[in-house]
Amino acid sequence: MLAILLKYRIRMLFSIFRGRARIGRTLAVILASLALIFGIVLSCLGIYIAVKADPVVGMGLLEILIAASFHGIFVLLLFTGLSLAIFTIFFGGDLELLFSLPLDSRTIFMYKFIESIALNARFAFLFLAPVLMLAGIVFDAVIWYYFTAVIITVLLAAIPGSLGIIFSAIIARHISRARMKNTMAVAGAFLGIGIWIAINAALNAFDDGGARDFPLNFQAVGLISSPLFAYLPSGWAYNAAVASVHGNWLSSITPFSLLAVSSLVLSYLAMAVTARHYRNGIVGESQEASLVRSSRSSVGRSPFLACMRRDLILLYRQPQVLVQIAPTLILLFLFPLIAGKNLPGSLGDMAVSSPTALFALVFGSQLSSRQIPLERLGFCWNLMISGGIRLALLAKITLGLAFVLICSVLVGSAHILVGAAPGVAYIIHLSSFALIGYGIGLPIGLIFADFNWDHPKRMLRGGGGFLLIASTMLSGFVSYLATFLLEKFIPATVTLPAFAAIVLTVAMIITSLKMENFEWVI
Amino acid sequence: MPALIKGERLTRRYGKVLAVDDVSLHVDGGEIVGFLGPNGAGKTTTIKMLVGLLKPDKGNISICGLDLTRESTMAKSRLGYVPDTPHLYEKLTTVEFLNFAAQVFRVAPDVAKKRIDDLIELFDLGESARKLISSLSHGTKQKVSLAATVLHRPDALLLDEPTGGLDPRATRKIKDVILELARGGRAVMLSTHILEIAESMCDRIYIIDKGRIIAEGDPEKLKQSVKTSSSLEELFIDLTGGSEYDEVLKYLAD
Repeated sequence: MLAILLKYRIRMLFSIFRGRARIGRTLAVILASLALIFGIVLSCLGIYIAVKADPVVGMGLLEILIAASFHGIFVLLLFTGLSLAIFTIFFGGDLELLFSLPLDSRTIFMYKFIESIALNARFAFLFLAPVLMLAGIVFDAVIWYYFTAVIITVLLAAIPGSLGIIFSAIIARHISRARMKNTMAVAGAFLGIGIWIAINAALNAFDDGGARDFPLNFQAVGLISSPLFAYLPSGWAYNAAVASVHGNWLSSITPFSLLAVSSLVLSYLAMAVTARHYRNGIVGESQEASLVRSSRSSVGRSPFLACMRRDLILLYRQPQVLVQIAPTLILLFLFPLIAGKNLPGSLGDMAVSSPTALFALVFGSQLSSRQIPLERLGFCWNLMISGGIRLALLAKITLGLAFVLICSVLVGSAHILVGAAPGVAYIIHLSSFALIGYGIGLPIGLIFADFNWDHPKRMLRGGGGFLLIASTMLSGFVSYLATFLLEKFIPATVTLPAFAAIVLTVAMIITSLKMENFEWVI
Repeated sequence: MPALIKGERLTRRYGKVLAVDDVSLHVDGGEIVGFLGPNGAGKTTTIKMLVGLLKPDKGNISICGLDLTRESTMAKSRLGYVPDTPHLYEKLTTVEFLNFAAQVFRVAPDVAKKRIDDLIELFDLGESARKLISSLSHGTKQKVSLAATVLHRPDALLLDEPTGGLDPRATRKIKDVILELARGGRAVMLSTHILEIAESMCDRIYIIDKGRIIAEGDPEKLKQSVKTSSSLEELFIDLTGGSEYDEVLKYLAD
C-alpha cells in the first residue's frame, strides 16, 4: 500500500508533463534543467581545473566547497523542514481522504513521513551530488566512498526533516490551524535570528585565531572552518565525507556514527510523535470564528487602489508567504556584513559581489512569482470585472516594484553605512539585480500559478519552482557577465539599470499578454 | 425585450475532447432560463464562455448587445456571475470583500455603502460581516458570492448551480432573489441539477448533452412534446440517457 501511495505521489510531482500545454512546459523544464546542470558542471569543471593548476589551494578550496554545501543545505533544510512538516503531516489537504481509505494508520504516517522528508531534501541531493562526486574524482576515491557519500547525504537530510516533524507536532498540539501561519512567521523569524547569532559566534571564533593557519586568506574560510560548525550535524557529515574521500575510514567512523545515531534517533522520535498524533485522529480546521477586529467598511472610488488594498491585506493575513521570502532578504542583508570586502566574486567595476547579486535576484523573483497565486481561487474575479486584468496587473507591479526598491535601497544603505559596500553605485547595482529577479519571476508566477495552494512552497505548479530557480540563476549569470564584458564601453551603473528595464518591460509584456488570454479552467 | 445574453454557434475543445459543440442560446430581459444537463455535458464550459472566463474556439457572444471579445470591458460591467463553487478571497472578511467588489465595479461610495448594508440584511450576513470568508460555511460563502455579484446591479446574470449544497432556507432565499431580479427586467441564466427549481422558476429551459443542445423551450410544452414524460425529471432522463439508469438499477439489484 505504501508503494502505491508513493507511486501516485511521484506521478503527481510529474503532473507537469500531462494535460494541456504539456509540450511547452516539458520543453521549458528540460531547458531549465539543462541550464542548471550546465551551471553545476561548469562550476565543478572550474574547480577541477583549479585543483590541477594548484593542488594545495585547489584542494583546500574544494574542501571549503564541501563544507559550505553541507552547512548551507543543513541551514536551508532547517528553515523549510518545520513548515513543510506542519503542512504535510499535520494539516495536509489529503489527510481526510487518506484516513477515509481502508489503510493502516502506520502506512499513512510512513507515507507522510517519507513525503515530508523527501520534499524537504530533494534539492539537497541536486546540489550535494555534483560536489561530492567531484571530490571523489579529484581525490581518486575508491568506489565505496560514493556509497558512503549517498548514505551521509540521506542521514543529513533526515535530521532537519525529523526536527521539523518533532517541533511541528508540539506546535500542532497547542496551536489551532487558524493561528498556525502567524506562529510559523514568528518561528521563522526566531530561527533566522538564531542562525545570525550562530554565524556571528563562528566569526568571533575566527577572529580569535581559529583559522589563522588556513592556507587561504579570506573570512569565508574562517567562517566555515570555525570549531562551532564541528558540533553541527552538517559538520559531522563534512568530516565523515572528507575522511572517507581520502580513504581514512577510521577517522570517518566517529563523525559518521554521530551522524547516523542522531539521524536514526531523531527519525524514530519523529515517527513516534507522528504515530501518536495519528492515533488521536486528524487535526481538523479550527471552528473558531476568525473575527477581524478592524474590518473597515469604507468604500473608495479607485478600482486600482482596491486591487492594491486587497493584495496588501492578503499578504498581511497570509504571513507564511512573506516568511518564505524573508530568509533571502535576511541573507541579502547579512551576507555582505559577514563576508566584508574580502568577499570573492566581484568582477571589474561591479559594486555588488556575485553571491549578493544572487540573493537580490532570488529576493525579487520570489516576491513577483508569488504575487499572482497569492490571490488563490479568488483570482478569477480579476477575469470577470471590467478591465480587471489590467487593473490587477498594474496594482501588483506597482506594489511589487515599490517593495523591491524600498528593501534594496534600505539594505544597500545599511551596507554602505557600516562600510561593507563602496557607495551609491552599490545601491543602484543591488536594486537593478533585485528588479531583474522581479522581472523573471512575474511571468513564471502567472504561467505556473497554482491557485489552490495549501503551502507557499506549492504556489507554483509542476516545474514552476524549479524553472524559477534555474532562470533566476541563469539571468543573474548572463547580466553579471554581460555587464563585465561591456564595462569598457558603458559603465556598470548604466548597463545594469538598462538590463533591469529591458527585463521588466519584456516581463510585463509577456505577463499582460498571457493575462489577456488567461482562461479559468478550475 | 431584446436578448441580453446571446451565444451563437459556440464551440470549445479541451485537447481532443469536444466539450461544447455548436451551441446557440439566448436569454431575454426579464426572463429566467434554465440550463440543464447531466454531469460533464458542457454546462459549466458554456457558462464560463458566456462570462469570458474561457474563450470559445468558434462562435460569438454578446452581453446586452455588446460583443464580449471586442467590447469586453463594457460587456463585463453589465454582467454578473456566480460560479458553482464560490471562489472568493478567503482572507478577506465579508464586508471587505463586498467593499472590494463595489470598488472594482465602480459603484459610487455612498451608493455602495447603502447597497452593502441592504445586501447584508437581505442575505442574513450580519453575523458573518466581520468574519474571514475562510471561516464561513459553504452556504454562507454562496450567499456572499451572490451578494457581491448583484452589488453593481448587472443586467445579465449567469448562475452556475447557485443552490448547490445549500439548506432549504438558504435555497429559498436565493430563489426569491433570482425571481426578484428577473422581475426587475434582468436576464437570468441558471444552471441547476434540481429539476424542481427549473420547473417552478424558469420561463424556458435548454437541455445540453454531450456538448450539444438537445431540447429547448417552455418546460410545459417540452413535457407535452414527449408523450412518455409527465414530469421534467422524466423528460430529462428520457432525453439524456434513461437506458443507462435502467442498467445501473439492474446492476444494483443483481
